[in-house]
Amino acid sequence: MELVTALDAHHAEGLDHRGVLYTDRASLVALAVPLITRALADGERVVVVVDRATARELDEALAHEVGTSSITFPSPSALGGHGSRAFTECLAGWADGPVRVVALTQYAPGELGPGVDPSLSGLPLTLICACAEGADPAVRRAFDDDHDAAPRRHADPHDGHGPPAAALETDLAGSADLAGVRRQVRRAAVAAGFRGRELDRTVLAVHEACALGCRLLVGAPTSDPAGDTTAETARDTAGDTAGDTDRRCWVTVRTGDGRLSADVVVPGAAGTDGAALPGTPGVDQDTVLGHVGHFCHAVSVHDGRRSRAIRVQARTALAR
Amino acid sequence: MPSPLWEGQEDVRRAPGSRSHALLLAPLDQLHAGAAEWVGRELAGGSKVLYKGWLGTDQRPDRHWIVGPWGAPGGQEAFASGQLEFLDFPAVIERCGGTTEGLFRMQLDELEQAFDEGWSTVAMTQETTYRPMTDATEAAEFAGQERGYDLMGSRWPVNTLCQLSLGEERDTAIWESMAVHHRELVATQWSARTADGRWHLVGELDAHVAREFGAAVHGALRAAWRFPDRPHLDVDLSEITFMDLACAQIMMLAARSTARHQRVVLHRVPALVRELLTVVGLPRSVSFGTEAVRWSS
Repeated sequence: MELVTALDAHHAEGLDHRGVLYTDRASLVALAVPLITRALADGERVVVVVDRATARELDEALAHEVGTSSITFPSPSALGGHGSRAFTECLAGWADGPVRVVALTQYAPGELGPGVDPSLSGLPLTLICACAEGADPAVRRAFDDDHDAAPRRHADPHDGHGPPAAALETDLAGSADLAGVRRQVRRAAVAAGFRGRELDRTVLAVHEACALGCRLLVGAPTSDPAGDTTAETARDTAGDTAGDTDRRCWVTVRTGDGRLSADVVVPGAAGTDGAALPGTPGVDQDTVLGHVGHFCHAVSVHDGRRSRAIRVQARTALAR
Repeated sequence: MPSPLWEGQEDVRRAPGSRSHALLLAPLDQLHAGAAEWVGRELAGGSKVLYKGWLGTDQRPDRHWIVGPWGAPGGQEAFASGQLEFLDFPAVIERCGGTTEGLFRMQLDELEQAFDEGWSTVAMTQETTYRPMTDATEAAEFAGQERGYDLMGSRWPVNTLCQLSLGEERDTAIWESMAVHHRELVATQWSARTADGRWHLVGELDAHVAREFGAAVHGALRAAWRFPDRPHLDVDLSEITFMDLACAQIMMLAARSTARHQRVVLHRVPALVRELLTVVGLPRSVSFGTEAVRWSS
């Protein structure tokens, strides 16, 4: 699943159509909160069309963040099935104004049409279609068909918005290297003008991308000793991130104009969407990225043919 | 050469005779350097040092690394004079009969002898033991032995340093050791100590140390539960210089599984750590103290 952010939405003039896969309700909420928060901060309208339980959790989560008065939660029945005529008309109605609309919709069993109507292409609309990994096969097939033309991940992690200068190039063999890389990233961020809380948040976000890279490098969880539930849970969550010495994550940090863009490239880690991280049963990559999104401007995952890149983008207040 | 393990650890590396009982956890090379510095400091402070460890194939204590060129400052002279006494583990097992009670009696005898000889303070340290710690019975035996050190420290001016080799010991041994020693421990990036009724965490808590940190949190909660009047765990986070999602999750998971009526009270929490814990999800059993602290960059 790609973590779609409001920053990504800015890239498109008209319709920006994305597909995301999620593992469970919590991961969908974790995905949506930073996305909605940023969209609202940027003055965009937000429409969330999801099942009632997800809407309730989102409502609660967002109440702490931004208040929910500026978000609309229409019933899924009001929208109709994805690709249906009602679906197209609803979206066209919402996006009929000067303000960009971010619509998060959830694929569900029911009426499934022939994809998003081309008539929406000129509208100021970011349409994010979410589909459960374990959805009904017909739903999943429709989702895959609808989004094949709009790849869920960018092929190139460098979208042109990141400043070009490489301020730091280093690598990680395992979690033992995290502290050292953290210090290098901090130095690069300071040189780029990050200070105080912004600096700490940026270092944390890049660190998490590196930590995720280390986890993806590792193949299997370590053995667990017998013990009580608390102990086992904590042990499981910790995970063993000692790296394979033959494989490394490559870290590139670019800075400029109060911006920092960090790419953590993990060889051979592509195609592990939604999978539990090694040593961390129940914790998947998307949940982690959802958390990281709170601490930077944007975080995203980009798959190449033989690698996965985790990209963190941060900005100083002056650069926003 | 000073060991980086002890940098900024003055509250844990106490003066000779301070009755401390700490764990030093590090990869073997760093562990040796850290233990050597600790022993050197005790020797310089006038303590009798009782060192228990593993001999090389030559079985000669005078060739053990602690008295060699990379060992404790003044170690060779102290060994020759009797200020530093070495006992290898097979001999320890033979003398104590391989039981916790036997070990405790043997150590009491050693202490009495040291004080009879006129030493005013004693330091005891033991190398990593490679105990398999595969079942609850052995873990309980281990905990009983460690309580023995606490008891000795409560009666006499004794400092104890337990050494644990990261990367050589089994996960189970590290888990149990960290849990038992949560009150006072020094690891490669972080440390913990107990003071003023609070568990103080110091340093950088990240994914690399998450497993050992989780063990210590578990031990701290378990120990707090022994006080029925106030079974809460008070944690001071003001000296944390970095915390990541892995450790935040560890802490909140542990707090989520606390016993009924038990709370985790977080004091002097840096703003970003507070935000991180909130993002991870605060269970009802967690509350914050009122003192503010800024996490400076």
